[in-house]
Order: sequence, then structure tokens, then C-alpha cells
Amino acid sequence: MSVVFKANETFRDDFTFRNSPKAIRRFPLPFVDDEYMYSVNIEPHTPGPKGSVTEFAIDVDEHYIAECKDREIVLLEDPLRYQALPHMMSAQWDVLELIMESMSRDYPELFSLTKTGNRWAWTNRPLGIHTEFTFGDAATLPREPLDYITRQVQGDWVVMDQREGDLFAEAGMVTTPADWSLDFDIGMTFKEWHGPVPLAHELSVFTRALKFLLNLRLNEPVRRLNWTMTIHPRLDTSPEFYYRWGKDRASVTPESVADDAHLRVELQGLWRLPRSNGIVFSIRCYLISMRELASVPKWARRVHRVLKNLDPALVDYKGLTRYRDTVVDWLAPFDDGAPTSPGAGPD
Amino acid sequence: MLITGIKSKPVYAPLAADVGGRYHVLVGHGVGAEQLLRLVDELRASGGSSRASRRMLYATDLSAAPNAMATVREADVAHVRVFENIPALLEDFRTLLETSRMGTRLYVAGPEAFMGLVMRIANEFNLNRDEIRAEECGSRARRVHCIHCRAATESVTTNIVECSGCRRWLVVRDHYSRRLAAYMGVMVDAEMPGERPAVKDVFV
Repeated sequence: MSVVFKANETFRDDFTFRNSPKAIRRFPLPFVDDEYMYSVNIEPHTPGPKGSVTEFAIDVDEHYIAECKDREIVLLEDPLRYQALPHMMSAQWDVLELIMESMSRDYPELFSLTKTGNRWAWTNRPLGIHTEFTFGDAATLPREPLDYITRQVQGDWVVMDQREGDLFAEAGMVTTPADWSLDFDIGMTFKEWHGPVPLAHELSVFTRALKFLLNLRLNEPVRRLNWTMTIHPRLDTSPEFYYRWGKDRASVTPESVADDAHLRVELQGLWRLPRSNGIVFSIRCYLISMRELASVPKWARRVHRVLKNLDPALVDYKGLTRYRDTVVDWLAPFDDGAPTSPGAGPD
Repeated sequence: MLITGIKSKPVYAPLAADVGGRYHVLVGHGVGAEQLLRLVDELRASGGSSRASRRMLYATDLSAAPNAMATVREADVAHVRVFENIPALLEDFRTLLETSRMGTRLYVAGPEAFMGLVMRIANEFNLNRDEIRAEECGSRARRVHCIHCRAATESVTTNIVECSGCRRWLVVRDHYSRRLAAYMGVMVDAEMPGERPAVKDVFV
């Protein structure tokens, strides 16, 4: 495969981000049905079909360079988006190893990793990086291992320590959050961290998910999809900068909705880490505008139905209150009432 | 901005003696004096705790009973210190933990905002959650951490509050951080500038 990077697209200011027709076809729609409610929708993170976002453990797509650039912009202004508690150092190396090994194995034309004992050499061609370092010796890297490697991969990364029968979120790189803050949440238990999510606690989703994750095994990663909506293709919808992007939610009109309103899907992957026995949680964000989405007739029908009948508590929690009806109205003409085929993929 | 039941808020229970502990550190504020004294009696009655094993730190305020200071000073403990304000107590508490030993149990009684500050220090010293017992009493006022400028606003009793740091009006979200000992405050009118609910007392 070869990826043609859209290196200069933006996720802020003039928002030049767009999906190619190929990127639209592989978009991970999270709706397997015409209605949506929370569930423990965890499945093994095994290789998906060729060309899909789950073909490889870590997906590198046409937005790779632009997303890495956007992360640098966020960190420059708000360095606390990267944090790691002191006892997380061995987990940091675990994550660096996972990312370097996956990316170099699955995209050999883009990334390479050579090891001579503990001496490692890492080459990242798209970003023009070459680093030689000693695995396990943080002084040989320009930044902490987790900070160093997560600047070279798409998606947010949170590392959880496992102890006392719980998972504590104690390190992470979070520059593309759907309205949650690493700086506020760092150190929290699994349920504290997910405290603000409505309905799911009552459905025991987090009790069951925690129990499942405490038993997650090495080399048997899992994944799930989650979703929300965002106005403009903005990756950094952090609470820290809510005072900047909040007003976007009130700006949607019938004329602007097709290009401004985006479905935002998170492909969440979880891996057990070998040395630290922690778990790393990756939250990879895919964006698609309503106009792009409606180019797939099945998806326009399905998303219309999901949004129209969404539980009011979810409409509120996901921040859709001000513009959900405008989106539903725009999608309505695409929904002829025909049944949709099983599964989430395009017809 | 949705406000639902608070899942990240710590759950407290009435203080009870932990006879598995070898040293007992009692920390309280305001009306919490009553709970601490009750606990001293309970520890004495249990027979498993000597006077020498018990230490008490207490900060007073207007909510406390008029004789609280005097009663606390006479408590049956090896060491009691009484403070006029919370920061002085916290400083002393930190010093005490620096010399604390295995088998220490911590008991905290007072308003939630005070307990959060004590717990935060206890966490720094890696006290496990099962080594700490806490009972909430007194004001329900919240400490609020501004997610935009990171300033803390103390003693918040209202649904929205003006940030002590950046002066934005914040809505107090039902999301609590033990590390910051505070609830999250988020700009209330970010979506529609000027659109703010009326200020109401809700945490009293």
C-alpha cells in the first residue's frame, strides 16, 4: 500500500481538512444498526480487511503528517497535554516499543527500526526523524519515551497502571480529546475517569468493562468504537480551550451544516504492556463531514435514523443539543425509508 | 453542560476505629471536632490503641461549637495541635506524615473541601485508600478548579461562580479530582456569550 499524505491540511483556523474518496470508503462508521445505545462493544483487535482502518494494529492514513503537526501546535501552547507520573517509566518504554514495532512492521516503507542489543535505531521518513538510543535509558532520547513516540503517531494515548483491582490513568498524550482533560483526570481510577458519562454507569458498562480489562492478556489487544459530533474538523476539542470552540456549536445553519458538522469516531485500542503490566489505551479520531458521509447512501439513511432517535441524555452529553435538529433535517431527504443492510460498512 | 449524579465524587462513611492500625492520626476541621472526639472514645474502648498511638490535628472555624477548641485540647491523645486556619494545619500534617510509620491509619472529619486537601497530601505519601477513613460534615461548599486557567476558587456554594484567576464565569461540573482536591469548573457561556443562568445557592 502507499499513502499519499495531505501534509498541509489543517484542523484549526481555515480547516482545510478533507477526506479523499478512499478515506471516505474506509471510514469506521460505529453504527451497526439504525439505533444507538451504550454497550460493552469490545472485540479482539485482530487484523481487519485489507485497506480498512483495522488492517494493522496502528493505522497510518493520509492525515498522518497533518495530525502530528496539529499535536505540536497544541503542545506548544499547552504543555500539560502530555503528562506522566514518575512511576510510569517502564510503561512508557513498553508503549514506545509497541508503537515502533507495529509501525515499522506494518509500514516498512515509512518507518524502520533496527536493534543491536539495547541499541535501537528508529527512522520515521514522513516526519524526517532518525534517532539512535539505548532502550531503557531515557537520557538517550530527546524527550521522555512516551512523549517522544506519541508525537509520531496519530490518536491520543493514555497509559493505565493496574493495582488494587483497578486501573489508574497515570500517563498520557491527549491533544485530540472529545471534551475531557488529562490534566484534570490524571491519577483517577477507571470509574472516576469515566464519571461524567451518563447512562452507561447505570447499565453497568464500566463495571463490566473494568472487569474485562483487568484480565486483558498480553498479545491479545482489544478494540471498540465510540463517537460524537464536532463542528468543523477540529481535533482539539479540549475543555481547556472550550472557551474558543464552544461558540461553534451555536453557529450551525441549514446552509453550513453539510460542511461544518462532522461525525467524529474514535477507534479505541487497548493493549496489555509486557514489563509494567499496565494497559495502554489509544483513542484514534476519524472525522467525516455530513456531505462526505452522505456520499454513501446507506450511511446517510442510517445516521439520519440514529440521530433522530438518540436518547436525550446522550444528545446533551455529546454536546449536540444546539444543532442536532439541523443535521437531522439536512439528512432527511437522503432517507427514503428503505431498509439498511446489516453491518456498518458501505454497500 | 450536563450535570448528573457524581461518579467521581468520593464516597464517605461515618468514622469507625480501625483496630488493625498501630498508629492513629486524626485530622478535623470545624464541626468535625465532634466526630474526632467520638472516634477517640471508640479507639479507647476498643482496647487495641494506647494513648501514645493517637495524634490529633484540628483547625477551628465559626461552624464549630463554642467549646470545641477547649474540648479538643483535652482529648485523650499523645499529641494534639489546634490551628486557626487550614493552611497551617496542612503544613503540620505534611510534617507529621514525613515521620509516620507503617501501620498508620488516617481519619478525617470535616467539610468535603477540607477533606480533599488532606487526602491530596495523604496520596502524595502513598497512603492506600483502605488506610484512610473520612466522614463528611459541615459546609458542602466546593473547591473549584478552572479548567481554562487552572486557578482554584475556594468555598463555592453557587451553581455558577466567577473564576478567581481568569474571571470567566464557570459552571461547576460534577466531576471531582482527588489529585487537585477540586471539582471541574468550565466556562458557562462559551457557546452563547452572555447566556448565563441566575446565580443560586446549591452547595450549602
